[in-house]
Amino acid sequence: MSFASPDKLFWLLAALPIIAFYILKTRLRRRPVATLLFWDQVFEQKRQRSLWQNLRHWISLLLQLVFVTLLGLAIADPLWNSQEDTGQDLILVVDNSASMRAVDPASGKSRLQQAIERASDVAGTLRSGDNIALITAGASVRVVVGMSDFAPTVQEALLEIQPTDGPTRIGEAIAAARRLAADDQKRRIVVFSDGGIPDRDRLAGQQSPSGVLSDDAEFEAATVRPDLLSGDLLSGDDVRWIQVGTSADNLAITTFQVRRSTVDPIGYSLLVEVKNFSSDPVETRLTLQLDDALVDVIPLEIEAEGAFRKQIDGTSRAGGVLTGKLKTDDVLPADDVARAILPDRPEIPVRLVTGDASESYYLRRVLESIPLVRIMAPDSESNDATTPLSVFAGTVPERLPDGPVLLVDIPDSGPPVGPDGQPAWRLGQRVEQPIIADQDKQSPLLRHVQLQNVILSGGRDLEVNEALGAPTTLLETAGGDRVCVSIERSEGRILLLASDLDSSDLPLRIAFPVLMTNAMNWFYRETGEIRPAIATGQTRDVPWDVADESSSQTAQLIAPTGERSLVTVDRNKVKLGPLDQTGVYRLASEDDADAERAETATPGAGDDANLVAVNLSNANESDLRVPELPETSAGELPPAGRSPWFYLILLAAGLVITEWALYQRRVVA
Amino acid sequence: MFDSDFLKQLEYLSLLSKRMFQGQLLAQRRTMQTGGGIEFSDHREYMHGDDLRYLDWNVYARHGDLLLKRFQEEEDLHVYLLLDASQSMHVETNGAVDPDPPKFTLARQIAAALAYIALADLDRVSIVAYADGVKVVMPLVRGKDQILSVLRFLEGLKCHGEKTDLRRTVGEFVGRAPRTGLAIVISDLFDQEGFREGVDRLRYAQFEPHVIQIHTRSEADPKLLGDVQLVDCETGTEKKVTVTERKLRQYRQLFETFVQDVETYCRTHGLAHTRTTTDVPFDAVLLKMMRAAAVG
Repeated sequence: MSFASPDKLFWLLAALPIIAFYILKTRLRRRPVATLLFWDQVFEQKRQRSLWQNLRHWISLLLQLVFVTLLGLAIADPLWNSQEDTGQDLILVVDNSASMRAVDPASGKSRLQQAIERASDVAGTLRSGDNIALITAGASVRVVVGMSDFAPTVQEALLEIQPTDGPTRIGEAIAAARRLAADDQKRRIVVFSDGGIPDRDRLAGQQSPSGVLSDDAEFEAATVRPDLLSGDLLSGDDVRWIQVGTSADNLAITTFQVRRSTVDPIGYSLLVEVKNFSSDPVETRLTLQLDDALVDVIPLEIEAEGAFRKQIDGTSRAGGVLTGKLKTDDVLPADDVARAILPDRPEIPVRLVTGDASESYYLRRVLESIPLVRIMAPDSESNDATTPLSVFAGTVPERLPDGPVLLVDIPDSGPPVGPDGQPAWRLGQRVEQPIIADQDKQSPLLRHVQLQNVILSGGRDLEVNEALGAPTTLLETAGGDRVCVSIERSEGRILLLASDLDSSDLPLRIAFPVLMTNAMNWFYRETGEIRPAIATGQTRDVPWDVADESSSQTAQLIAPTGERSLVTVDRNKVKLGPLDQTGVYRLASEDDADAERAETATPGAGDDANLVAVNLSNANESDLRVPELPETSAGELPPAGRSPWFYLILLAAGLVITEWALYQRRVVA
Repeated sequence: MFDSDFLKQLEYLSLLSKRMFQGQLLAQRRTMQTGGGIEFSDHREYMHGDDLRYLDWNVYARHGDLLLKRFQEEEDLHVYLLLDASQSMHVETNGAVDPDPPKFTLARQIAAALAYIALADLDRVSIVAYADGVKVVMPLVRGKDQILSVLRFLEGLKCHGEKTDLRRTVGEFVGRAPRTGLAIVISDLFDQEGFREGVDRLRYAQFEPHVIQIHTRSEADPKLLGDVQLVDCETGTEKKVTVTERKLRQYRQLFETFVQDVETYCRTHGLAHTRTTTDVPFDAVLLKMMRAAAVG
């Protein structure tokens, strides 16, 4: 043991006057008395204890000397062996991942609470010249407190740490800690975790070879790609793990995803996986609900360490939040519930207007073949909430109607638009062999559509009036003729196809119904796909068709708790994540202050279109069995709590009390 | 110690005693002897040779009986003041401030007052200073004019002696005393050999003992705590003790028992007993004695 201030040991000289005073004190006060008659009687019974009386004085002196020694040592500020390196950089990494929410039945405290308490104890050992930082390693790595020499700041910040539903990111946190404190000699990383990291077996088995961390290439690679983090980076001379929590059994929904049925336009397939992280078999029930309506209750019998995995098919035109709930009372509720968003499938009313020359047989048949499409009479009024799609084949109205419009086999010029009354489009000269040479591969209209090298009979160049809207060329011939153009218009999207379907072989190709189906989804801003539920901690681009494809804007993401955060919408995709809470998030346009208005502002989009389900879906987090942590060569931590001087003072105070008791025994007892 | 104020107080006490007891105190007590007094006692048959002056002629005239009148003889009382002059009556505090006045001073004041009252009543007074034996004796004196010699004697007394022994003192005293009388013992009664035997011998020798017990307040309730070395001022015996509150409680209990034993002893044997502490003025002690005697 060494001392931070050995020069202050001179305070031990205070023992000298105590000894001097003791010697003086041993010359007892002489008190002449008239007679010893009574005193002899009083002390007659205690004569045999005179040895103890003499000894008691020596003990009293000894206690006083020990007291002074303790105080002197405390002033000299002794150090634990682990504290002898002065000026250490202590970085506390607190795991606040989902598994840290697990409540220890014995103590009634969550693992995170235990971690915070122990971290606070370690922060209390900070000495002059030391620095301390705090990093959380939950759904995302966050430097809560940067390098500071003021421990109370860290202790206060520790109390503010909230649990997340995200995965453990200890590796990234350790990498961040190493970036924070560059000096290998001074750096000391203390990880407070339950050890619920990916590939935990490897962590338990590996040793900590020194020098691994000095390899900058591996270090940076691991920093850039956390999934590459090896167990080596989780340990090392500078890392000490402090494990919290005890092993517990758990039952978890590890997969809960919905996709469209391949055979039923309003059907869906749910893939659910429930795992039993226990050495005992378990029986339970999985309840499926679509919003408040009960869909199914599935009894489960899962073997020890086993899993239940099943694809469940169902149909529902009405969308909603599909929720799966496990009937269990384990210590981690976050993985007992999983959700998926099921968009509703409204009918698409189509008002087909054909010209006198042709009845557009192929077009009608193709439209009728598309699920959910309902052909209306040309002059009928729509009672649906959804604006009907207007399809004009071989004809054109005097004025383009509001809502989505599909124009096929269009005449030479369109109806007048704009303030100057210019036609909406003009067709170019007839082309002999209009072979499609180029198609927009990025457009959702041409998804799964291959029309290159196809002769599009009757195809002519389309010159769209800018007053109509922003045109996008979808198909272009080798001669540069734009034969298919999509137009973004505020009143509704427009698709122009300058081709004679009756004479062209396009309707006979598989690509045509696919193109029409894509067009239906494009008109109503639907992808036709179900937005997948994402896992906490994941970063994912989620399709959200709210605006012009080329534009980039921000939107609001409303968490299940009501918190709002800004997200970026780029090319109709929202960059989400990493999200740290499970539940149903909602997307709202940034322009609309009112979220309710924002939901209805998107044409054709219901509530469900703006929802994103976030589940834990992480078997690693759900496995609450605590792994064995690696042996580490990292230096011992100071005993939790206080510096040695504190205990010395405590001991000295105890001695004072003992001496006081002795004195009282001598005088009062 | 005995200044003019003290003498005035003595005179006052003397007058007070005469008024309170109307001649019943000390020398004016009647002896049981009949003789040449002036106060009629009884009659007896006339015998030849009797002085005819004492024949009761009135009885002879009425009844024809020759009866001789007898008179109670008055004689002066002998008052012996046995004054404890052992070292315990004056504890030297080695320069330390002693909160209590010395017992010996009060004892001499009381002795002086009693002597004055006795001399004023025409009694004979003798003072015997003792410790482990009779040390100094003032022979019997009589008459009020002897008070100054009494005071000088008392003032010249010193405390000495290695211990207190009333039994031996009384043994010596009884042999010397010419007559029995009132023996007033003024002492702290811290007698290593036991004061009872001494008083018993006084009683046996037909003296009428009167015990005046003097002690200081600190002797009854010492204020000692902690480690002290107690020194017996008479024997010089030392005792290293650690005085605690509990020990003090035991001490006080023992002292109280001692005082009660003295009172019980005196009451049992019909002895007058007066206990006082040194912070009480001597005249108050005298008044207390007078009241006790009056009640008795």
